[in-house]
Amino acid sequence: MKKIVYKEIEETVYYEKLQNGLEVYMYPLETAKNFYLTMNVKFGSVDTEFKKGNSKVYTCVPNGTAHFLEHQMFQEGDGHTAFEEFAKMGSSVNAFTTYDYTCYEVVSSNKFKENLEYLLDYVQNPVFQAGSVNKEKGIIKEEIKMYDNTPNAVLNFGLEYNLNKQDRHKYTISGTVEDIKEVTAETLEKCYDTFYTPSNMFMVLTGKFSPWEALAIIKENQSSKDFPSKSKITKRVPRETVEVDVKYEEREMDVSVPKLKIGYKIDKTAFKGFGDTLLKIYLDAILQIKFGPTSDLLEKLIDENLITWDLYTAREIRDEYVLLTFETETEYKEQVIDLIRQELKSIKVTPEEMERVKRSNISSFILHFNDIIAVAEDLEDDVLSNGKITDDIMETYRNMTVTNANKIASSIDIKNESIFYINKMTV
Amino acid sequence: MKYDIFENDTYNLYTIETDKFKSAHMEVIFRTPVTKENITYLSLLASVLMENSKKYPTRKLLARQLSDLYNANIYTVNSRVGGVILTNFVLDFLDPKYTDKETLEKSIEMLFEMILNPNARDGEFDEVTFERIKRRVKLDIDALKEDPKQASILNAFKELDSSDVRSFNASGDAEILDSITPRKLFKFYEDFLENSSRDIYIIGNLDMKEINKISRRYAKFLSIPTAKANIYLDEVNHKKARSAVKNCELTQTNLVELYSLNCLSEYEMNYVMPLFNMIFGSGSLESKLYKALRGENGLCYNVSTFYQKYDKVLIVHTAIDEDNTKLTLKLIKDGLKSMLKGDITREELDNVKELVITSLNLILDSPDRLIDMYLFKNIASLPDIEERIDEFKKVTVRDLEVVAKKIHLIMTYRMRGEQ
Repeated sequence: MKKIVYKEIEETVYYEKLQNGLEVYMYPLETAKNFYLTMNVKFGSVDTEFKKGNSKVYTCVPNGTAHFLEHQMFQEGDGHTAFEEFAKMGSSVNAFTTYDYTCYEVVSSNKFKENLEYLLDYVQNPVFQAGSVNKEKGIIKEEIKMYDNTPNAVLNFGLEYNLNKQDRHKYTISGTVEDIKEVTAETLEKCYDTFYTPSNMFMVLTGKFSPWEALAIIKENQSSKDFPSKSKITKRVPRETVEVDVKYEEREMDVSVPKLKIGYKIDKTAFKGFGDTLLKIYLDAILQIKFGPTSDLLEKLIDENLITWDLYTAREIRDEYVLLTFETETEYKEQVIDLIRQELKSIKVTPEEMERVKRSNISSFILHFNDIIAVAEDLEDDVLSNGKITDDIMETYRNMTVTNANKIASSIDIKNESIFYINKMTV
Repeated sequence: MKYDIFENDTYNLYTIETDKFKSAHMEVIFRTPVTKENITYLSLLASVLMENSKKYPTRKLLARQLSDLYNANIYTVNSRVGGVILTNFVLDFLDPKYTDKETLEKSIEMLFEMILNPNARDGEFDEVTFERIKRRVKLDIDALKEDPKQASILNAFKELDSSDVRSFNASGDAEILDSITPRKLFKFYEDFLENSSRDIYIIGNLDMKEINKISRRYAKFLSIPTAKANIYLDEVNHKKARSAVKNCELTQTNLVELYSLNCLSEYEMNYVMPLFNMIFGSGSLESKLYKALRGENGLCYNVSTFYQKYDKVLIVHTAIDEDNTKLTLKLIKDGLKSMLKGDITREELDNVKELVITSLNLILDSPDRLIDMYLFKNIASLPDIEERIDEFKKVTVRDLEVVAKKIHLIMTYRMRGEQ
């Protein structure tokens, strides 16, 4: 078992890769009362076209299949569900699907061994029955309708739809009601067989437990199961251009203030010389400095009553492009859009701002170790983005420079812009 | 964890010393009786105080100072608990072992700067700040409609009795808000500081004697509070169940059922009813309603029940296809009937007991929930976790049957979506 120690703060993560390919990351915390266990599958909503091994034929599945499979995994046959077993242990169990992966999670304070074993067992022993698949369609239909009635979900998924031409981030994670009508038990089984293999999964355990005991339990459990031999998964990823599909869309909903979200697609090659991790750190810093609470722009937007409260920013590093988004509530969309564009075109980070953001980053990073769920999320993000734990992150924060920040800022190109606006209903 | 109390003239400082966390968490908590006016005024006041202060008259200056204090975080939360509004002014800051002693004192000074030195002059709040926040609160009040679940629950209470505090919007009332001026708000603020009960709570790896000294330097509360509020509301007494329907432009129907809880003993309120609620609809995806509505009939994505101990009510909420209303209502009714008949297995009861123990243990890993627990121990005599676990273990199926008879349907409300 490998020990990975975060430099400067002396927090330790234990790592092991099992013979069957399953990777296990563990952050034991002696002072915690509870533990949080996750089983993660590198199968997200964007993975709708794939093949396994030497097969020449790609399998295509409807949008929303990864999410549907996540729902279905809780079915244990004969009307029984995994919820029942976890309920007996007093554990809280849930799952979620993102664009990139599916996560099964358990939190509890007792019966560590039983919880861990059952998490492994229910995720690795699926039951696909046509009856239960059809019943699940009714439930997912109501979940989709719930999102359709939520303005923020409409805003987020609406912008993604308009930003992308081919990229599958275009489509909602749960799919549409029409999409899920096409899902069958066979579809789910095919996806399960392809993606739910140990070498395409990883576990993250945090909280109160012994890493040696945990690893022994996992190894024993895995050695008692037969898995098909490892074979390569090939995903067909459509090439995405940096141009947006739709530049502007406006919808009406019953909102108290109109909602605005702007997205910029920037060619990734513009940031040549910066790896994904470094690029993320610098983009986050730039967004925080120029659009966050300490920024002149936010003060202006609020003082002039152009927005109601806050300006939320985010960045995504995708295969071929970097995405920056800005979200707020405003009655004055033209002025707000114009000010954001102006700011993006003239970013200049000062040494004082850089020192402030470094201090803030270091503090936030340390604080994540307060919470066994927050630290697990950080680990999952690190594994998915970098394939490993970034143990020198504190050093990276300390070594950030104004020169690099300004170099990255000057490469931000705003010509590929998409705007989604939810206006108030007209009477 | 070492619990302590430092009694000062005008407030108590409650401390929890522990090295469990990498941060310290401090809350100055005020308690004010619930009225529609108080909710609205406090909603506005808390936001005005957090927006800026005399020393930091703009939000940007304030944010920069917090950032320089290693990203210290100051915020406020207003919440109604039964007949009391809790106004918590919260400070989160990094354990001084990662920073320095100066940052510790400066962070605490900053919290009290925000509470006690507002951006005000000549008996009124800064007008620009005031107007900006007033506009925001107005929008918050209106934004209730964007949350169909919350909106349908409050509407259900409103249909029952619009003067009942259970039906009040947590952000306030638009008409009252319109009538507030910077001067009126300042007058309210002075009264609030003078009369609302207040105490300070802190948790962290800190020398608490030193914290008390620092607090005394900055927590300049001059009066002994006089306002008293009963945390428990009176029971809702409606002999006959009512129903109401309102159309809305959503694609789902939000269905709410309200139940009154009558004559519950303290033991039933603290231990039996929480378990009843978990078995019926809130405990896990294994609750009776969840199994019946979602598991067996695929009618909804989610169904939840909420036991509001201090409000003495039980709420059921789900969002469904309008066409499935009749079946859903029948299944909820059947679920309650089976609880009444004591159709509860030993296993179901044991499962929710385990679940409640887990949720109590989760408190121990969260600084703010530990502070909450300490607060409710002081204001509502809530026992310690160990004692609560022991009491939960004693609850029997018979106890649940008895409590089921004290639950009465008072309202069925439907916010009807398009068919």
